[in-house]
Amino acid sequence: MIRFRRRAGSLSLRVLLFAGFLSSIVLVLVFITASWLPQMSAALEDNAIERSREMVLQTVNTVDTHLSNLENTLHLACSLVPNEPADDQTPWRQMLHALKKDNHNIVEFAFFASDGSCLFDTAGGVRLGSDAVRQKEWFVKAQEWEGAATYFSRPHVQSLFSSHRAHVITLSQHVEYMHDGQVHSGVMLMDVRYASLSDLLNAVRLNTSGYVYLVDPQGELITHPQLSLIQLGLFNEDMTAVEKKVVGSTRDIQDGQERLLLIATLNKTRWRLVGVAYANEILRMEQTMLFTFSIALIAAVFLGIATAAAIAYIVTHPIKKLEARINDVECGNLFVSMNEDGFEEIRSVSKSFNLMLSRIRQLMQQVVEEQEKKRLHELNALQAQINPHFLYNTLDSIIWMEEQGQSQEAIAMVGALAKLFRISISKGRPLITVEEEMEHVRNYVIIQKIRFGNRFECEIDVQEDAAQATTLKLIVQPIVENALNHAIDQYADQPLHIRVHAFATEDELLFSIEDDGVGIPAERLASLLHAAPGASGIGLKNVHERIRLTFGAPFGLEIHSEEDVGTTVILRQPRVRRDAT
Amino acid sequence: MKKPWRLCAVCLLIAFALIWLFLIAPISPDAPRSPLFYVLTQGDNGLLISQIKQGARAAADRLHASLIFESIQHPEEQIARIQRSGADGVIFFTTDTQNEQALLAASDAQKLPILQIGHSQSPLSVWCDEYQAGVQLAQAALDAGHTRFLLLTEDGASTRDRLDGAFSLLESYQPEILPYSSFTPAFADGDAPCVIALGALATAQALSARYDGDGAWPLLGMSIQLHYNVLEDGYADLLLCPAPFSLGFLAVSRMREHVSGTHFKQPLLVPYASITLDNLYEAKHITFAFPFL
Repeated sequence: MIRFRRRAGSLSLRVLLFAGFLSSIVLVLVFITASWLPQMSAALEDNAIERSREMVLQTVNTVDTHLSNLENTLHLACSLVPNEPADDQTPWRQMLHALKKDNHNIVEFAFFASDGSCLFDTAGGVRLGSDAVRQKEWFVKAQEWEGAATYFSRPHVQSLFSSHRAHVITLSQHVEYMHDGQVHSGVMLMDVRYASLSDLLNAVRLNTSGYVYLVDPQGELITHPQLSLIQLGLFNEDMTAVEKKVVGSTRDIQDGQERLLLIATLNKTRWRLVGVAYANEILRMEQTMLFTFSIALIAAVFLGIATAAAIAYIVTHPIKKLEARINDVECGNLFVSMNEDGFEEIRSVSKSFNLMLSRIRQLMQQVVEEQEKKRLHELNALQAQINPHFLYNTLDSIIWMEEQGQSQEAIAMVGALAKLFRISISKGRPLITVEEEMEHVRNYVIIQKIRFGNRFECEIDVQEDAAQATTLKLIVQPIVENALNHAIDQYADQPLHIRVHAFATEDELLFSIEDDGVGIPAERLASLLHAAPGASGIGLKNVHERIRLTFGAPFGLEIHSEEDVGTTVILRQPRVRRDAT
Repeated sequence: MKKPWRLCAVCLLIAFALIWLFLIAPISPDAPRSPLFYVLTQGDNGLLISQIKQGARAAADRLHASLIFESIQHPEEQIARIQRSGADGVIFFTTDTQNEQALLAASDAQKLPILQIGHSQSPLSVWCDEYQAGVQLAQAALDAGHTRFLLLTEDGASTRDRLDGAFSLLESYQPEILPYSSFTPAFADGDAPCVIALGALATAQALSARYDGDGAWPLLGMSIQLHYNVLEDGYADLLLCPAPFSLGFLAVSRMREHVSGTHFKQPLLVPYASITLDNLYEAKHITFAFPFL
């Protein structure tokens, strides 16, 4: 189970959905097939057999009805026999003619006295003598039964009459009549066209080529669709199984074909009607159904595959789209969105995704803004780091000068200091003109001159083109301050020379601060711009980072120094037009 | 599952193709072609031809063959036309020698199987067992206790075969042999020989003499179209009847087997039915004695 879960977990949702739906469909189909098909198959076979049986029983009823009608007609004819049948004047003869004329199945009527003499016939004359008539089975049986039943002969060619021959079934009935005041018996004969019965039965079909036939109790064929062929020996009807079975159903094999034999008995004649249905035709219906079902099943499986694929696609397509959007987001594109349509769950997820993206964008913006603020705070902090050093030193100098009574110098220093602070504040602007920056340097130099005396000289040179350019404020003064702090040789006779030069190119604004001081040792020069807080050179590092924070990594300080020769610091920043501030 | 819609479309296509090909299209399939035979007969009328046709139809129904009946008009043209129609074979019945030869020659030229109903040496042919007919007549005469015989003959190979058959039993009795045109009955009733007419025409002549009152003699004959009253009235004691229904039936059956690949080595001989007053009304003789019923 765990392995299955692991394996299933490694598949895509679409494949899982597809396999799940398809499995369900196939399982349902298999279940239906397994549970329904055998029953249906058996039911079809039973139904085909039952239909054949009903057809046989219906045919029996039809034939019985037909024979009953004929019997009733014979009874009617018998009832017409008068007390004196030999009397030509009685109307019964016309009535028999009328009966014959009305029923095209009736061939002839004839009435015979008990001695076999013909008292009347509708054929116009009897060929046989009374002795021959008395020997005929229809006469003998009718006399024997004395009206208890009607005799039905087998089909035969009627040779009784002079005028014609006909293929008939003869019905005969015992009749009693009065003659000369005595009761006499006679026999009424009615010949019925054989075709009226054979046509009725030969038209019956069981399934496609099944048929019915009639046999008498002795097993002689009465009717059969192939009777002529049987009589000529061209066809054989195997009646072995029928002889063994009086009524009901049985099976046999003829000419290699299995046959279902359905046997029923006619009430009137005790003839047996045999229905012959071929097993292969019964099975063919079953096979046709099986074939149809198989094709439908295969088609259903393919339809199931199509449905499963469609459902899997419909369900997973929005998820795939969502996955693609997430991949976009992973690649940094936060400006995507999902269509909030489709299934409710997908709509909900899409809505949440869009909300999440929106929130991320807000947060990103917030982070950017906060970073910007932080950077500004850092800048301000860096700028603020300068002030305490300088202020401390300057105030210390003013105090010293006051103590020495050098009021004029103190006043000048205070004035310069005031200007210095005015520029450094600059109404909070981070950028000032080069001219203002140089003014700031001059004020600083003034202050430091008072402090250091003639131990250094400072020359400030501003290119005319660069004077009105905009620069980050308070970036030159710390360099000058650094030179004063570190480049003055305590033992040198000559003052330190510092030259501040501001100039501009097309794209850049540069400041060059050169001194001829002691220089910086090479090992220290390498780490100067990365000095830790509190270490010497912090001013250079601050300036460097401020420029880079403001204008980016390509800008900042370059320091070139040689021991006992001097140091040159170049400040590089982009040329910012005044209107850009 | 990269292209679910393609899979979906392919499966739908297969499903509908299956349903169409196996469930919808076969609703009205073309019926398998059954073999087609032409049945050419000498004229359309007559009980003999009618019975042959009925027998042929019965066989065609049972054996799932198709038949076209035509009266022989121009044998060569007919055979050529039949060939063009794609028929599988020709069955013919003719008493005209010219027609017979023309049909055989034309069918041979067209390489069309042809079956003759009648006296022929072709193994595909179906005809009556003439020799056995002579034997049947002679045997019936002997069974009746006769010892003097007059064999009434007519022209034709069939009659010769019948004569051979009759002679095979009666040779020792030295029967008188007469062609039917020479039959002039002039024997007294008590001295009358048993007349065995070895053909329908000979039988008709003998019966004619009986009807004319030229005496009474035992007559065993042959009839293509049996008149039951001949037996009922006692003019003939026995008549041999051919079985045209059987001939037609067996001809189609044999042709059907031939086109199915069966090769026959000998002609099929059909026995005559022997009809007497005693068995006249038996069911098995209805077709012979009362073919009109």
